[in-house]
Formats: sequence, structure tokens, C-alpha cells
Amino acid sequence: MKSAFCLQAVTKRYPAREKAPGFALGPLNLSLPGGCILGLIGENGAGKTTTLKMMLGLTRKSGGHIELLGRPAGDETTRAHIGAVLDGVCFPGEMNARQVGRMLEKLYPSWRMGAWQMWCRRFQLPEEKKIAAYSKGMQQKLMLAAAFSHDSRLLLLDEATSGLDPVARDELLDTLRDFVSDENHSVLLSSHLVEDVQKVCDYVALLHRGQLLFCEEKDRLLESFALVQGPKDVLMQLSNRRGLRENAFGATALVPRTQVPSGLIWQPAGLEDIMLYTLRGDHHERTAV
Amino acid sequence: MKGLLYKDLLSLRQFRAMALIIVAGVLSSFYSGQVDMVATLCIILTATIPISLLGLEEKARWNTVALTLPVSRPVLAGEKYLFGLGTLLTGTGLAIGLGMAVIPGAGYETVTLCAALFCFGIIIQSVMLPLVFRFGMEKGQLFTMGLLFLLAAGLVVLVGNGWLALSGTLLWVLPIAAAIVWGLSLFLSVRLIKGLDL
Repeated sequence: MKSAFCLQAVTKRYPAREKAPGFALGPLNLSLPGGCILGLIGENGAGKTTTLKMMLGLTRKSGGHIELLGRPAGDETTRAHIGAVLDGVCFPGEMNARQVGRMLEKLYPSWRMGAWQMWCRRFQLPEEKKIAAYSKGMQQKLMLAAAFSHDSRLLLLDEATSGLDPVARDELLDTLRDFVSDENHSVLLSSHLVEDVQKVCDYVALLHRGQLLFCEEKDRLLESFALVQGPKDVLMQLSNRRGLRENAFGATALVPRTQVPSGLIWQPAGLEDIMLYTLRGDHHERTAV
Repeated sequence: MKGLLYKDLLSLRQFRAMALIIVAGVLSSFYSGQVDMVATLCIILTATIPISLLGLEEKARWNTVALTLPVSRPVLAGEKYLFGLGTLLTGTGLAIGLGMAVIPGAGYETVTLCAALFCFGIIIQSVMLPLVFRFGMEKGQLFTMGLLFLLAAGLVVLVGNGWLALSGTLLWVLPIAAAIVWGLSLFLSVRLIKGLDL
């Protein structure tokens, strides 16, 4: 199966400045087979947006190689087949949806005006209203409508679901599932909303302070871990635990399922649990008074 | 390119206040019978439109959106030069038309003045665009003011000492200088925008 994208030893270095500490991302090795959705998760400042920006050619990489749809990243011919939605950016505020459609028709060789109008209707975007007057969620929807209205084979979505209401979010996730039913289509979804990633993604990658902690098939990842409850001293002896959370009622640890000690209560771990325990390690949970 | 030009043309609606100033100038020139002032206003204001537009785009982070579309960085820079040329030509055309209407007998003088102002407008755009691309609107404007001050001071010294005649030599030098500066500026802007991290 052809890769939708491939990042090989990609790095980005921001040198330290007077008021800002330096930041190093990578080396990142990531790839995604066609017809799949990869969820990129991590805390704020982990490097998710920088990764997407390097893939789009908006930010120069310090090293490594990026290929999108079999071509080097950053050239405009490749971008004609990419749909991108970046957090907090939209088309000029003084334009309306109808004018954006006309502009994009002149820029994309494969623009489908009928699809644009259909998506605008589906997302309930008023055609004559200025974009500046749209809510953040509506602006996200407008960017998504643009991404779906040309021959996109790869969608790069940065926090694309974060501004949407639950119904619109669910609808978008369904749309993404439909989109990848053709194996020529793939999605990279960077999100804080781990719940969305768990619902829709085939693969999950976790970034932490610029380092890729894992990139695995979601189902395999979820099957590999368990949340074990028990006395703290017993759980502390589990050398393979990813993290331990202590609260007023006892302790819970994330451990590989194959190594759950007999006699202890366990339950399957969700993606959010895996992320939290992995990133926070052993910690004490504060209880509300 | 066509899509970017379409967007910029739509953005012209944001310059309604500028249009009002020009209309007021036009009305006053009919009243006073003077066109020099309003022609200068017309051409210089239209020369600054692409720069003001870049400032608005900077606020809206338009470059980040534009470069996710099938648009190359050189095209993104080049379009602003083309659009700038368009606004300046429109302003100059308007100024010439106005001059002819107000003082029908002074055609040659009006065209000469407007042509000189057109060249000056080209130089303003050529100086400002790469500075704004590189430093952003706020710092770019400061640098531009400094550079234009130096340029004006240089001209005053040259003309004041009789080293450059306003009617003869300057009218030949100005278009050539404007064309060279415009070409160099475009080249520089393309290089700057190619190295920009967004």
C-alpha cells in the first residue's frame, strides 16, 4: 500500500532567545498508509503544529526528509491535492463564502463548485455573511468545506474539531471515516481532543516535548494496556508500569496487559489514560475538598 | 495568481475612506483650478494600497492560509507587485484625467507631473514591500520612513545645487531608476518570502 506521507529523521530546532527557551523537535520518523487516519496527540508545545507546518512547507525543517503523496513536501503541485485546516487561521474576514469559493476556483485546478456549495449548506454557512462575522466554529467549518471541495487526497487537520459543537464534531468524524473509505485518501488529525482521536483514528502518535514517544496502530495500543487498581505498595513494585496515580481511595497504574498480576482488579485503558499515565508518570491526584 | 488578484480586488472595499479623500480632493481642485496637490494625493495614496493591504493580511495571517493553497512563494510575492502596479496605474490615470478636465490646455505638464509621480510611487512600493515582507508592517513602516526621508533629502540636495535639473535630466533618470528599483525589489522580496518561517 502506498504511503500518504513519510517523514524520515525530520528535525526542527529553534535556538534559545532572550525571553524564550530553545526547542528541538525530532528526529521524527512517521508514515501513514493510504486509506488511514493518524491521530497526533500531545500537550501544548509538544510540536504537533510545527510538524504539520513543516509538512505543508510553511516552516522550514532543520533536517530530514518529508514526502507527501510520493512527492517532496512544500511544492504547490502537491498542495493542490492536500486539504489543510490550521488552528486559528481562516480566509480574509472581509470576504464571504461565495467569494471564497470563486477565489479558490481560480487557484485549484480541480475545484468543484457544486461540492463547495453543498458543504457550505451542510455546515450551515451563510453565503453572503462576512467571514469576520463567523464564529470560530463556523470559520473551522469553512476551512473544512474548502478542504473537501477539491481533489484532496491528504487532509492535514490541526485542532480542526476543537471549535465545533458536539453534533458538528460527530458529523465531521463520520465525514472523515467516509473520506478514507477510498484508500487513496488519508488524514492526519492533530488534536487535544483524545476522545475524537480514539473514535476515528487507525493509528496514534504521541509527541512529548518534541520527541515521538510512540506511533502505533490504535487497536493494538488499546489492547496492550490495562489500568490496574490496588494498594500503592503492590503497584509500585510493577517495574513495567507506565505511570501510577494515587488518590484518597488507593492507586491505579497503567501496565502492559500481559503483565497484570493475578488477583488485582483491572480494566481496559482508554487512549486518554495511556496518554496521561505515559506523560505524567507516577503522580498524586488532588481531590476536591 | 488570478485567485490572489481577485481577493485583493475585493479587499479594495476596505479603502473606502481613501476614496472619499480623493473625491474631496477632486471636488476642491475643480473649485480652485489646481491639480498638482490632488494628483499627488491620488497617486501617492494609490501607491500605498498594496502596503496597507499587506498590513491587514499580516494581522489575519493570510500568508499562512495562502501557502496551504496551490500557490508558490514567488507567486505570492509577485502578485503584490502586480496588484501594486495596477493600483498605481489607476491612480495615475485618474490624476491625468482630472488634470485634463480641470486645466484643458495644460496636457503636457499634467502628464509629465503624473508620470514623475508614478515613478515616485513605484519607488515607494519598491522600498516598502520587501521591508514589510521582512520585518512586518510596524517595523517595515519605520524603516521605510527613514529611507524615504533620506531619498527626499538626497533629491533636495541634488536639485538645490543644480546637479539635477527637475525638468530635463530627472524626467529621464526617474523612469529608469524606478524600473531598476522595482526589478531589484521584486527579486529581493521573492528571496525574502522564500526564507520566511510562518
